[in-house]
Amino acid sequence: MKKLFTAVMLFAASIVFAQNTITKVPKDASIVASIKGENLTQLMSIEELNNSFVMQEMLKELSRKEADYSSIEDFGINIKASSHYFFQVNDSIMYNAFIIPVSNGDKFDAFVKNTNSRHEFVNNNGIRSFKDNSEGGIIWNDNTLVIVEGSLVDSYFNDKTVAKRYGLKPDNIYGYTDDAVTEAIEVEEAETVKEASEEIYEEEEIEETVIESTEDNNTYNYYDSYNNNYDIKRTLSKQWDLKKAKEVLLQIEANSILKNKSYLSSIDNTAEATLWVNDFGKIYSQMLGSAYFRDLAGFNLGAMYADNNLTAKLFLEDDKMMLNTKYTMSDMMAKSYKKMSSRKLNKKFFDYVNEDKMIAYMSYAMDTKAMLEEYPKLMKSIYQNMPYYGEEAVLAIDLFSLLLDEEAVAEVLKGDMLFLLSGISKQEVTYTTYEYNDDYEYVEVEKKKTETLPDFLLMASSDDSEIITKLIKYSKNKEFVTFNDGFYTFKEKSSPISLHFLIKDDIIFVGTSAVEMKKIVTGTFNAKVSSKHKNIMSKNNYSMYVSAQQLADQLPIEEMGIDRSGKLEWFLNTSEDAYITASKIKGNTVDTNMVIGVPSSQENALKYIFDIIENIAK
Amino acid sequence: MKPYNLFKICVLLVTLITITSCFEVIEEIDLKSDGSGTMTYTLNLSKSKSKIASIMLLDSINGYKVPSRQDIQKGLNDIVAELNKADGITNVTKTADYENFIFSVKCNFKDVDKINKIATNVSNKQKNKMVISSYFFDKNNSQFKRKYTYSDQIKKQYSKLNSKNKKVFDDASYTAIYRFDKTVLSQNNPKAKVSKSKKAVMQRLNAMEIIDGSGNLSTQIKLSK
Repeated sequence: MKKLFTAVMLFAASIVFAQNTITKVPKDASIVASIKGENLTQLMSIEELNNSFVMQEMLKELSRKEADYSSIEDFGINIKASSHYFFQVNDSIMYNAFIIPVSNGDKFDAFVKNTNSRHEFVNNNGIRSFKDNSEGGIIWNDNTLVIVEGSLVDSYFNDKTVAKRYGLKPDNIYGYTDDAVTEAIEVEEAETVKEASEEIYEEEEIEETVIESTEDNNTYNYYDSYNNNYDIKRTLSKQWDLKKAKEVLLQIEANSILKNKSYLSSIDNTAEATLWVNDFGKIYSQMLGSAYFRDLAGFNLGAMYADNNLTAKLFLEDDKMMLNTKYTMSDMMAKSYKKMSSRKLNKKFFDYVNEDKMIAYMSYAMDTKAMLEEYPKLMKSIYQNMPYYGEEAVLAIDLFSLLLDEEAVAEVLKGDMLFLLSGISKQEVTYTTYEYNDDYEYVEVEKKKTETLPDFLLMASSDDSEIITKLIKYSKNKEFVTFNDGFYTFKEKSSPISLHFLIKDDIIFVGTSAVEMKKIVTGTFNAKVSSKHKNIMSKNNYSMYVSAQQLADQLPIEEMGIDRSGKLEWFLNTSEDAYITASKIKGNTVDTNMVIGVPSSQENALKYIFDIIENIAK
Repeated sequence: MKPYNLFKICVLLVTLITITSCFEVIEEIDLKSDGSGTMTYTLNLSKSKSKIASIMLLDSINGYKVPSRQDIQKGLNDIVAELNKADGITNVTKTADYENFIFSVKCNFKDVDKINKIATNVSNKQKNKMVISSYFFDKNNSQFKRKYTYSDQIKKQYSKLNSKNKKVFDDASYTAIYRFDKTVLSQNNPKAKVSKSKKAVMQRLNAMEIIDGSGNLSTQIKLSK
């Protein structure tokens, strides 16, 4: 069974193109994921796919004595159409469902027979399902395969009327039926089951008459009851899964997710895969509503998470792969976020970046003052409804805000910073070793050796460096730091890395390379930044960039000795740059992008991924 | 990215990049003709001090918990305490240099057999008995003997390490030095050397020779009467 499941999932990862299976996703689904995009088979032909390492391994795995599979099409799945996953929740059950298009019902029937000979299936008017509902919600016809996996919501079934309806025995041994204690009991049951059953067996030997009424008896066979309940729930779950699967299979467009405006706006036919998550708030409250710990549910997440939405898209192109996520937040959060992210990255930072040597960077631009003001507000709105402590929490937050001088703090650290891994350089370090005289008595001698160490540089904007200057002066007096060549140095005796810092042009510089610091002091820093990086850093609130090429060039892989198989070196040499950005807020939406470049030696991103997997796996 | 995580990554980068670790272990025995003497054990990690300094800033590395300075101090103190308890062992001292990462423990022994007792105690406490050395001094014949038994436990333990951890031993060495107040007439270990002054014998092995058993520290030294 697991094999079938896995195989199908693997197919889902390599399937494309619209066969309109999307109409089977119900309108009220909370999460919908699709593997689609006309490009996947355009990026890689079926023949190429069949010949790839990944597919070869999979075909080998699935081929058996009875059947030999040589192509992905042999399984009867339609790889030129879209596959979908959706998540749907109500108060009694959470469904995870998969919809996969079938190209040839007979071929698929044959595949199922070969991989899952233990369970037989029947064909009723074209709809195949497993006999005796042994596999729950798995059905298919000549067009579509539907798999539904449901999880019952336990708290729903703890309710007396519900439990009675389904013939569930209250599974407790102390006669309590309070919901809140059910959790505690379930924890205890693991420990007491053994004791209880031992007790029971003794009892039964002495007293043959089994007690009929089971409700108030402490010696009731708890273990049996638990097992029985489990069986009932499992059967029920399978029944419901099958029912749901049938609903999905026969669903019409009028009831589908295509009638959901939010989903419609997330559709992008150029993306290879998409994920759409509806209002978190709703999902949260549906799930938290069933939590045993009601205290948790006392958090007022309503305002924070109202009307929000997340959409993610994966693009596999010729020169890059890109994962784009759009997060839409509530008005309240958007207002706060706008204030917090209103800062722009200090352009003067660019005077200290040399992209010919730079290996990686991380930039960050938030407004400290706004953050210190908005954050407490957000916290207040979350905690104020908290039971027991709500009032106190609000008071504490107010007090904190009162004492904190947001403006003063913001003057010291404005909130934008750039952190660079500016290169890897050689440094000389001394070490102690021994020289022996004629009596083999030794003296300690100091010798030198060169070590390669990474150079870091951190820049942060500051308007009021007075307090920092005071700190530095204090450290100097206490001899923690020394002042040379125009900048301060902090050197931990046992560390090879010295930390240098200086304040200039309203920027706090902290770095590990004395050479670089000197250049900054004297204004002779050799800066070189292309507009590509300037845009990445200044147009976004947060960005991170890594140059695989620079890393490959500068990292002393052989010396480090960590790459015994040569794979790391191969990977670095063939990789292109990668970066992540989080945009400024537009309306109520923040865009994040993760881009990984595809080397020119690779035809497209999909083939590149397959190549990486093959190289790493071998 | 949280500041602490960023910091951790930087430190890890440093530890990865700084080249191979290497360290020296030096064992010295100064033996008087009455059979008493001094034994010193030194661990010199200064060649890897950059790497160690960086590692000390982390909580754990490669799956092992990183000892703090206090942990190391306590470890040394424990060793000293154990030695102080031992019969026939006196004047136990320790040195610790946290800048260069050189640590040593020194003690006087009444006779060489007292050392054997400690070694046996330590070995019994270990789960896997590893290398055992025992020392003998025949006063009457002026003969000093060191018996070195290799147990392949050490090889087994080594092979369990991952390649990163194995690398730590690539450039490590073990040096044994014996000094006497009488002249050395002969010694039978082909890899050991007798000093110019003929008052000392030294043997140096690299860590791999100890781990794979190809190195042998056994020796029989005949001294003048």
